[in-house]
Amino acid sequence: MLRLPASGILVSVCAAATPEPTVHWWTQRTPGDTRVAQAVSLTDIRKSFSGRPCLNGLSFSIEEGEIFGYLGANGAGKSTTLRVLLGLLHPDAGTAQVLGLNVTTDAARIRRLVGVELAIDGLYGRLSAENNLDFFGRIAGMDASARRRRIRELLMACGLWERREEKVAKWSTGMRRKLAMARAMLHQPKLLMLDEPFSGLDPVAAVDLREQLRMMAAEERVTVLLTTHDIEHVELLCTRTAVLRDGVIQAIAAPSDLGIGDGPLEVDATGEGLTVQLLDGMMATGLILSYQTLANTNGAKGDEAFRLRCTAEARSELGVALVNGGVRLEELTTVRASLEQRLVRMMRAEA
Amino acid sequence: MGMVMAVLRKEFLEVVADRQSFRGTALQSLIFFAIAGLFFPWRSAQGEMWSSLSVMLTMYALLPTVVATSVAADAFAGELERGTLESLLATAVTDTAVFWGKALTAVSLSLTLSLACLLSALFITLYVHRLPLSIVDPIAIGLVLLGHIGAATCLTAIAIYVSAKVKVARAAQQALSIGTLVSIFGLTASAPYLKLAEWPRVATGELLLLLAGCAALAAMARFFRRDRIFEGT
Repeated sequence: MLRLPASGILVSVCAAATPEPTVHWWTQRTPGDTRVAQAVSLTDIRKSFSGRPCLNGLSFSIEEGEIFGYLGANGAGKSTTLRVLLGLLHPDAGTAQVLGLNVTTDAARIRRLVGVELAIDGLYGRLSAENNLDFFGRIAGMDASARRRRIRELLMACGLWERREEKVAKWSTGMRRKLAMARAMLHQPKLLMLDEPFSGLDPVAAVDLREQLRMMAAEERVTVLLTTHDIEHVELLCTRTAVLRDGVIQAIAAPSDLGIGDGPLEVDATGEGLTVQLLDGMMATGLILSYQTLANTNGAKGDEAFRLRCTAEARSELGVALVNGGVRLEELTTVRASLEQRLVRMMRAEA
Repeated sequence: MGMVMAVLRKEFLEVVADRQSFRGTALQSLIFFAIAGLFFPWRSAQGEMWSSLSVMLTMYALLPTVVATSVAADAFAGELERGTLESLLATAVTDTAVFWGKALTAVSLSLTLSLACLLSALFITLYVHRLPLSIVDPIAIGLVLLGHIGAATCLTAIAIYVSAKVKVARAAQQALSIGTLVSIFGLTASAPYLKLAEWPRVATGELLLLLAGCAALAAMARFFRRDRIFEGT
C-alpha cells in the first residue's frame, strides 16, 4: 500500500494551534479565495549545452493545485527543464518562477518548498531507509521530534516501517521508488516535481500513488509537475499536459484534447453501395487520403465497411460525397485516436 | 551549522555502512596503523623515534593524509557515479554545507588515524618499553598534529577540486593517491635541506601550510556552485 499522508498530524496540530486561516505567503491568498495562482511559470526559457540548443524558448505556466503532465521523447529537454526550475542550471535567457520565486535569484528558497523525485531515485544505498529519510529531514530543517514522527508516518504508509533498518541498496526498484516518494513528501512541499514516479511500482502501489496525488492536489492545493512515459497515468491523473519536442512545446491541453485536430482523421463508414471503385474515385479527387476494408460487424447484411483517412477540412464534405456517390450510409463515425497515438504523432512530428 | 553537521553525519554513516568502501578504507588504515602505530614504536625500544622530528612528521603527520585524499576524492565524483548527487543538490541543503560537510569528513577521518597512531605509539613507549614520559617531546607531538591538519586541509582542497571536475571516483582516487605519495616522499627526501630538525622552522612552515590549506578550502567553498556541476552533464 502506498497511501502517503502529505500533511497529516503536523498540519492538524498547526491548525489547532492557529485558528486563523492560513495565508499562503507566495500568493497572499486565504483558503476560499478562488483566484488562480501560478505555481510554475516559464517565459521564453532558452538553454544550450556546448552550443547545442536544449530548450528553445520554453513558455508555459502551471496553476496552483494542478497536476501537470510534462511529456516528451528521451532527450526532449524534460530533465533540463526540471533542473532549471530547481536552480540546478541557469537558463541562458528567459525568466522562470516557481511558487512566485525567481529560479535564478531565489533557488535556495524554491528548493525548500519543493519536493523532488528524480528518474534516478538518488537514495543512499549504503544507508538504511530510516537514515535516508532522517538525513533529508535534517537538511530540510525539521526538528528531531517532527522528523521522527513524520518518518514513522511515511514509512508506515508505504508499508516499509518493518524494513526501516535495512540498507536500501538491497531493495527492489519498487520499494526504492516508494521510499523516494516518501522522501519527496517528507517536508510537506507545496510543489512536487516527479520524474517517472510510477516506474517500478506494482499496480496496487501505482493506483494508490495516483489517488494520493489527486487527493493532495484537490484538498491541499499541492501542485504536481509530472513527467512520465506511462500514458495511462497521464490520462487518469493530469489536468493538463504539455508535449515537448526538441526543447519546444508542441501542445498544451487536457489529455482528452491533446493533439485532436492535428493531422489526418480516421473515419469509419458503413453502408450499402460503398465500393472500392467509389473510394478510388474519391482518392483521385483528393477527398480522402487512403482507405482500408473493415470487417462489417454492426451493419446490415450487404453493407460494406471501410476506414477512411481524410483531412479535417474534407471530413465535413465526406457524408454528402458518399451519398451523392450512391451509398446508403448506415454509419459515418470519426475514430478517436488514443492519447498514445496522438502523442506519438506529435513527438514524431507527423502532423 | 546544522546542515554541515547533517552532511558530516551522513558521510560518516556512509563510510562505516558500506562494506566495500569501509573494507578498503579500513584495510588501508589498519595497515598504516600496524606500521606506524604498532611496529614502528615497538622497534624503537629506546624511544629513538621521539627524537627524530623528520621521521615523526613523515609517519604521523604526512602519511595519514592518504586517507583524507581518498575520502575527499569520492566526495562529488562518487555521488555523481552512484546517482545521489542530483537528489542531494535538489534539496534545501546549501552549497556551503555540502562543501564543508565533505571537507570536514575527510580531514577528521585522517586526523583520527593520525591521533590513534600517536596514542598507540605513546602507549607502547610508556607501557611496553617502560620508558619515562620525559622521553616524549610534547613539542614534537604538537608539530605532528599541526602539520597533519595543515597537510590534510591542503590535500583535501585539491582532492575535492579534482572530485568536482571528474566523473569517476576511482580515477580521482588513483590520481590523488599517487600525487599524495609523491609529495610526501618528495618532502621527506628534501627534509635535510629544509632543516626539519629545527622546530621553529618546522612550526613556521606548518603554519604557512595550514594557512594555505584553509585559504584553499575557503576559496573553493566560495566558488563551489551546484549549477557548475550540472553544466554539460
